[in-house]
Amino acid sequence: MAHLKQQFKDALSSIEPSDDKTNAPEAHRLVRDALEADAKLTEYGVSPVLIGSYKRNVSIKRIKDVDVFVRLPDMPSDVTSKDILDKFFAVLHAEFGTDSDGHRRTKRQDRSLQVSFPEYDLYVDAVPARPHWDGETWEIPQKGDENEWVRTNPEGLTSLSSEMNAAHDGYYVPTVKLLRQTRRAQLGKKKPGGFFFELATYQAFASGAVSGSDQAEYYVSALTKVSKILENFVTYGIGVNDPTLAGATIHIRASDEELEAARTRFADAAISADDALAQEDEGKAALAFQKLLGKNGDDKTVFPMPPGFNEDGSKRASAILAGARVVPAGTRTFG
Amino acid sequence: MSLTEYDDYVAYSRQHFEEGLIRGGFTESDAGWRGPISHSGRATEVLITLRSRFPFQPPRVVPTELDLVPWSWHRELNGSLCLIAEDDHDGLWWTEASEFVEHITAWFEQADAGWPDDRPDLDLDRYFDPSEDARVYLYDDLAQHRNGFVRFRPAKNDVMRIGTGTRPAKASKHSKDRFGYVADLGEVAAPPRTWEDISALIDPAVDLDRRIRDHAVAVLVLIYRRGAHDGAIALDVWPTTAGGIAVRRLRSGADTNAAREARAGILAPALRDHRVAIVGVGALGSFVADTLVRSGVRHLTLVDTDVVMPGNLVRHLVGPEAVGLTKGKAVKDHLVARADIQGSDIQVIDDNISSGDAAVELLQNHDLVVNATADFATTALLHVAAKSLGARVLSAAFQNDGATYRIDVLPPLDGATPHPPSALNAERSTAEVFEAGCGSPISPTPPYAVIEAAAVTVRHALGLLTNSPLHPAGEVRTIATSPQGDEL
Repeated sequence: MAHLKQQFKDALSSIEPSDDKTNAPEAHRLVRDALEADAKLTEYGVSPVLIGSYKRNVSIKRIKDVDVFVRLPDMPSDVTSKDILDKFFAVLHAEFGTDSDGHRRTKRQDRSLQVSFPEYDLYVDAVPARPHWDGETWEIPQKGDENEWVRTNPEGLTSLSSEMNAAHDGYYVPTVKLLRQTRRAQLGKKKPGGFFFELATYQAFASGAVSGSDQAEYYVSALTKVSKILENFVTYGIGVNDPTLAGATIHIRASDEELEAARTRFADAAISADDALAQEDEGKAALAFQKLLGKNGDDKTVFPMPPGFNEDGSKRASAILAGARVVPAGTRTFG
Repeated sequence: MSLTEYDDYVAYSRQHFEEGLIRGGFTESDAGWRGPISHSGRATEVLITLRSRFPFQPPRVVPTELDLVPWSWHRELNGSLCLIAEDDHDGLWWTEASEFVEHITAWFEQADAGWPDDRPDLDLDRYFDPSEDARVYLYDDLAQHRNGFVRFRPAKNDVMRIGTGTRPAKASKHSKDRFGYVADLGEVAAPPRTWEDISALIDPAVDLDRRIRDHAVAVLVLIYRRGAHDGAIALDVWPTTAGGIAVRRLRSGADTNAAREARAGILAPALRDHRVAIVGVGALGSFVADTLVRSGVRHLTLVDTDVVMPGNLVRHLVGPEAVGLTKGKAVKDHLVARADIQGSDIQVIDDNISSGDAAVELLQNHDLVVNATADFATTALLHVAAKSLGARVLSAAFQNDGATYRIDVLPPLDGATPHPPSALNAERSTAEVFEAGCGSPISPTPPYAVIEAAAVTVRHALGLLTNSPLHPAGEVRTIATSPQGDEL
């Protein structure tokens, strides 16, 4: 059994966003200021709030997207989703214009407006939201429709995340990060994305099936359960819950091919992680975790080898078995 | 080992050990690794901490509830378990957590069983913090002071020596003497750790509390028994401002023949009455004499007419103060001054063994004659005399410019074949050195070879004296291959 406490700690710090941590709030502030400066939107009671993985502290190196949830509590009900997206485009394009290559920095998307920040190499997604009739949740524009809205509660997820983290001695958030990193290493740019895995991890934790007494046990336990959730999703179409909206499941865009690949890769990953945890040789275990977690956004290997081992997982020749004879043999020595 | 390898070794050992602890159900806390040790049908939670010198120092193990585990001779002052004897450092075996945890389990099982077949370590010192008084308190035979008052007087080198006496009523403030009491605790089942523990073991009639408060007793010597062994410890005791009595341990030790002889080896008592003559107390013979005395021989005859010269000193037992003395007298003076031997036990003969009568007398009056003259004529004389008497001579010498030493039993025991001549196959590469006069060149034998050969000679001598000879003919050994060359 290899728990590799220090190496998990090192892996987590290797996937921790670095410069993005300063740039993301700055980009967010610029978008927020632009929206709040508009008279019409002010009339709608504009109140942007940061959401997404960055806000929930589960993002990993590198952060590419920062989500801003723009609450408009006083927007009249006759303003359509198209109207408000048009309005956002007008305000943001007027503010951010074009980049040095002459491309518009503001891009229209199905549910939001994306503003690029080439100097930071990241994007801010501004999502307009109007109150749902229940007064507690929100509605955001739905894809492809003139005036269709879909219910959401992103801030709810932020607080649920913190609660889950506290309930598990601070192991939930780092485990989500490790699962997101595993997704990135195993699936690359293919879908499902990090959000799906985050919510699958939340569901796994919420089911009570994830436990452990250290990071290694949490990681392996969560990976095993998430791979089952993915299996059920792909094979039986059992949805992944949106924990902020009772009875709702999340929608993802992934092809059948992508889903099948994800299912296989994660099933293999779960077996490999389980074997690594049971492995008595720390070098072999580290090699397995290394393969699962791949490289970070800076192209650096995430999971380091423990001391005393070569990069291929073999024991270093200079050393060094614990308990190896470093004292000449014999009993009752005397000098 | 480069520093990188060293760091790698330490980091690996530490992580490997911790991995093992995790496997054993231990979890890390701020204070260390907590986990259960199962023994005798129950479990006791312990805290394991890796000290800064790990893996070169075993981890410390303390029960999390200090008083739930019985206090015994197998716990340290701080409550940690005494798991590894100082002499048990074979291979740093504790770096494997599973073995270490097994060892802790065995400790608990032994404790549950009341420590049967216990090793009687006598080390009450471990259970008290050290005093700031760094002087060494020496005591003689404590039986004569048992349950009596004593006085420690300052001596050279910050030593305090014990004597009899109580503090005078009008003691001078300037007196540097310290007064104390010797208490016999008898058999001590569990080591005392506080003044209260000690006080409970001493006859209340002595009224030690009051005497300490009155500063009539400042040093408390405790004598105690553990199994068949006696132990002693000296403690610094003083009244505290809070009304209690503080106890710290003093650095103390026995200044007795028994303490010295305990370290002379197991043969020492058997050697006490043997008589040994050493013919020739030059380099080899002087160290033979010294080692024999240290090993327990108390009756020596030293035969040599030669005088100590400055050039001898580097390979001889004695120092510059002996230059000008005959070698026999010089060695005798050295032994009497530094070893536990009386002058009357050493006879010095400032004469050569040049007649059969002298040889016979020497052989008849001694249990063993060691010939360290390296003189062919003397060796032959002693050999023939020994043969005709049915006695034995142990003859030791260097050959081949110090590259070989040979120790011969003359004549060999039980008609054994003598060792063949020693010879080396290389030409001498350095010029020989002569001092003035008509003699042989100076031997280039190095001092370490002299001391080694002397030790081996004594080993054979003791074998002959105790009727367990190492070899019927002796031993020949080449100790240098350069520049003199290899053995033929």
